[in-house]
Amino acid sequence: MKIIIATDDACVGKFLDEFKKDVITPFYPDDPDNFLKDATEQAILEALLNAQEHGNGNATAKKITIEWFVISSHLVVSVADEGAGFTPAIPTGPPPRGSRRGRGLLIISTTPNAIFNFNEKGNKITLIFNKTNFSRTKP
Amino acid sequence: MLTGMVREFLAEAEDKAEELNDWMKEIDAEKISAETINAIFRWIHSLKGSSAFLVDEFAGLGVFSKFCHEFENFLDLVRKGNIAFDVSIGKLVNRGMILVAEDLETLSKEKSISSHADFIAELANFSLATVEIKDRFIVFHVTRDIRMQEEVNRFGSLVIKEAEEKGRGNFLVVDTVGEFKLSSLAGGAVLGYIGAEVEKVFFIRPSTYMRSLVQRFGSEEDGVYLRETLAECEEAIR
Repeated sequence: MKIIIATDDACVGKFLDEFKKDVITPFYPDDPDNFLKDATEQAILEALLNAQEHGNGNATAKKITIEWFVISSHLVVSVADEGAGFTPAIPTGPPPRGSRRGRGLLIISTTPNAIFNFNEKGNKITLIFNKTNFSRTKP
Repeated sequence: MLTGMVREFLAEAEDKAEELNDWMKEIDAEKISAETINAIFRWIHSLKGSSAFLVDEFAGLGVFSKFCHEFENFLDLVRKGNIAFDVSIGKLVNRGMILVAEDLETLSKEKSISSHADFIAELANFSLATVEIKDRFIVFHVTRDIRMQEEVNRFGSLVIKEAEEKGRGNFLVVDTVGEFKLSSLAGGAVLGYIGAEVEKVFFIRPSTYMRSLVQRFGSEEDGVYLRETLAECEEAIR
């Protein structure tokens, strides 16, 4: 499945709400404390916020493309922006005391049941969520 | 058929027209005083109470009373400074007052009015958290997920105002009520004060996932604390 949305808070929020209802929730039927649903929603939110702010520079005319499919026990989601791309530096720990930024990629990289990869240009991230084989506390 | 009391209520409300005009001009000029915002709050509060009292006599007042209740809650946050007054807030206050005036006029002729669901949803966008000051703790009780940039900016303004006004020696507490989520940006809006204005930031009542997220935001060595209650936060600073 594929959807293209505008770089805009309302569009991103609406997409995420619908994606949560139609894809994330049915993907995790056995998740009594909502841990996996919340973790998945948060990782996708962070990818969308990065595309919106860093990739497309909050330019409403630029688009964010989201593609996804479910295969076996995996949900594969990619988020692409129209930016020039970047070389991602994955944080190894939280940013210094008092820093307001620098937690988005950290959250994605420490999502307990997900692995991710960027394309070569650095303007598309693909996340693979596993609903069966994972540890809740990713090292 | 309107009863005497309902007619009296609607007529009394219409008498407010001139004052309403003055308030709206003041808001348009972006010079709203605390006195005016309090007066608007009192007016809506009184309309809410009177209309709720008269619901049995005129059913249309039930919808009106509910709308006034939502608008009153919003105005309460504005007058307490929990929502910083700016141009966009001023526009909302003015729109709310116009809707109230239109409703009163409609009710004098017709039996029902709109619930203004879209407007109420818009008000909710601004009410992201309420603030409680308890000794040295500035507690932000989150009222919905804070995810998108505009929401984070509003939440950030609220945190800035409280953290900078109350100054050093205080502690920030974020109460996510066991269900609300914060984006990395919203977390940063609070954690950005550690070391500058405050020593510690506490997250209380986290959901299972929020607990895991906060642990990734930092440890107690970094000034990031996870607790269940405010009492436990008090214990942690002793």
